[in-house]
Amino acid sequence: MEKLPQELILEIFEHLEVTDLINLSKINTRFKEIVRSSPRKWKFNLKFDKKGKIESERTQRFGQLTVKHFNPRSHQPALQICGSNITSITFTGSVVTFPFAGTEIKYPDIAMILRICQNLQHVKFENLIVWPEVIKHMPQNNGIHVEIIESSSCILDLFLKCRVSALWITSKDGEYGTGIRGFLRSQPYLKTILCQGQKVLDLFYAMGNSYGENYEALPFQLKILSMRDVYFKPYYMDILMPSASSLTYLTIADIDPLWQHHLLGDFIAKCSNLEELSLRNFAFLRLKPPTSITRVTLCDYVGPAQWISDLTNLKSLVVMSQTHSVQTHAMEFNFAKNSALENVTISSAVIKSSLDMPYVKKLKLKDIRDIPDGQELIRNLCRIEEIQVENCGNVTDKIVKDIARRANNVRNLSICDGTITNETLRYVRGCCGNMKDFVMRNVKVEDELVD
Amino acid sequence: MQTIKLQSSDNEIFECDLAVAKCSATIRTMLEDLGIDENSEDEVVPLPNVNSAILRKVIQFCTYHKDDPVPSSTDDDENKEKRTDDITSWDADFLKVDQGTLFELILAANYLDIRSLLDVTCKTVANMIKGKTPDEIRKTFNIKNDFTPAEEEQVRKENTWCEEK
Repeated sequence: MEKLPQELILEIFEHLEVTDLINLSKINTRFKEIVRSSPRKWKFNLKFDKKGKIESERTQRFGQLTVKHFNPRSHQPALQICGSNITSITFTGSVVTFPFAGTEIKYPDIAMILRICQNLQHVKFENLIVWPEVIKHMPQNNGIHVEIIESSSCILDLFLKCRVSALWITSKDGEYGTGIRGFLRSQPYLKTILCQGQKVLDLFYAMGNSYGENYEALPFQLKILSMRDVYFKPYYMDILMPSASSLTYLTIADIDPLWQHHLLGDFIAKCSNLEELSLRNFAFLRLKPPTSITRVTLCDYVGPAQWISDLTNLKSLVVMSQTHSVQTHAMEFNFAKNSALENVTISSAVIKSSLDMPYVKKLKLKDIRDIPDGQELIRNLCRIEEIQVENCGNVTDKIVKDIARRANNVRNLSICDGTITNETLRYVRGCCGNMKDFVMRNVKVEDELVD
Repeated sequence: MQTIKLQSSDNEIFECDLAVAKCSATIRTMLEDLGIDENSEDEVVPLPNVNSAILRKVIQFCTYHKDDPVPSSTDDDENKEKRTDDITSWDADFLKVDQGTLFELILAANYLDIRSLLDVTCKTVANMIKGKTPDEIRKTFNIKNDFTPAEEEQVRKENTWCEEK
């Protein structure tokens, strides 16, 4: 390979991952120099012609720009032309400072793009690792929405002179440095933050401390909060409570142990404007939810959920299981009081209680694994208009039979991927007099069910 | 069938289908520049940078691929992720050669400007590199490590940024 000229070695490099290139840079002086001399080409989602002009048929798409690999020399002219039309940019990958931070810095290129794109409304950084010392440029922009997904938080320093209107930060295990505190303090107009991950919450707590524990003085309010795999510490309440009334969306997932429930329950009770609540692998035994909630998603929720009955504005409910083991829902599907509830989806469940949903118009039953013998599936679906039964195997027969007996005013019935008996099919046709649309896709009709 | 004569660096003459020869952008340009057309039966196109063994392989490749659709350069090709797991079984068999031949093919593909051959040969080499440690790469390609211990330490330091997320 050493006999190949540099240009052809670079041609090979084009097919390699960054980690492979870094390994190549370690094999000897020549390869180090080749890797160093040539950052990989950066690519736009937009297509530019050879003169750097954007092709005319693409002018309608200026709103979106994804930069994976950027070559400033070849792309700057095109950017100059279209820059003011670009409203959204995504920077993806881990090659911003490639090949060597501190020796060949590509980070100012990002600042250059941001400066050219004067009307940028949204910028997203994904999987970008950047060292703080390389950040030198700070473009100005008002009202920008910034997303930092699994990337270095020091990217925020780019926006110190901007008015950031919304900030989303997601980090599974990344460390967020002290830079974010200074940034947040510089943002009096920042009102929406999505934070996800333990480190982010820890950071906010530390930041609160730097305000002399005056959390209400924090320069932001949480509007969307996603807490996944967080060890919820009691003192987080100090951070979260001031934002409770501004929160509209809340996800809580994989949080343990049980004693944390009452803390979160207290917090949720104070979220007076919460619209959507999503709980995954996390169950509340008792909860006083705000009545502002209109959508609830329960995933791998094991336990009673009587608190749902109190949600007088609930319009949509999804109950599902994502684990491979059979999830037995002890949940009572009793929503007789939920007069606004129109859409219900139950997925991957063993249904152990009758569906009492007199206001529901649209019901989807998917991957239902069992309905215990003697269990009546439907108690009240008097306003039902549409039912979908999907991928329920042999259980399909029992479901459809119960629909014919107890929900025979249904207008649209769709059955996919399951087995029913001839008897059930005749029963449906005989009982469901209001049926306008009866669809069966990939459904086996047998004389009798065989396990 | 219109044919054309190609002369390798070691003076071997290959008579091949004109359509096959025109897979090479370099040959196409030479034919235009030299004013050689299908009627110029005695004309020979000299290829001083390609020896007969490699030229034979190149002709074999182009003969197999001559009817392949010309890749569009106006679509999103440049935005596509570079993949190396999409080498066809015929190409993979064709490139089961020693390293010397493989690199000669890269050089020939570049000189003759045959994009598809250059791509597939580079992908093949890339696959030989992927996932290997620096030591393994050196062994695979018989590359000598000329770093001093101090330089090696320097390289390690320079790469810390990407190794410690």
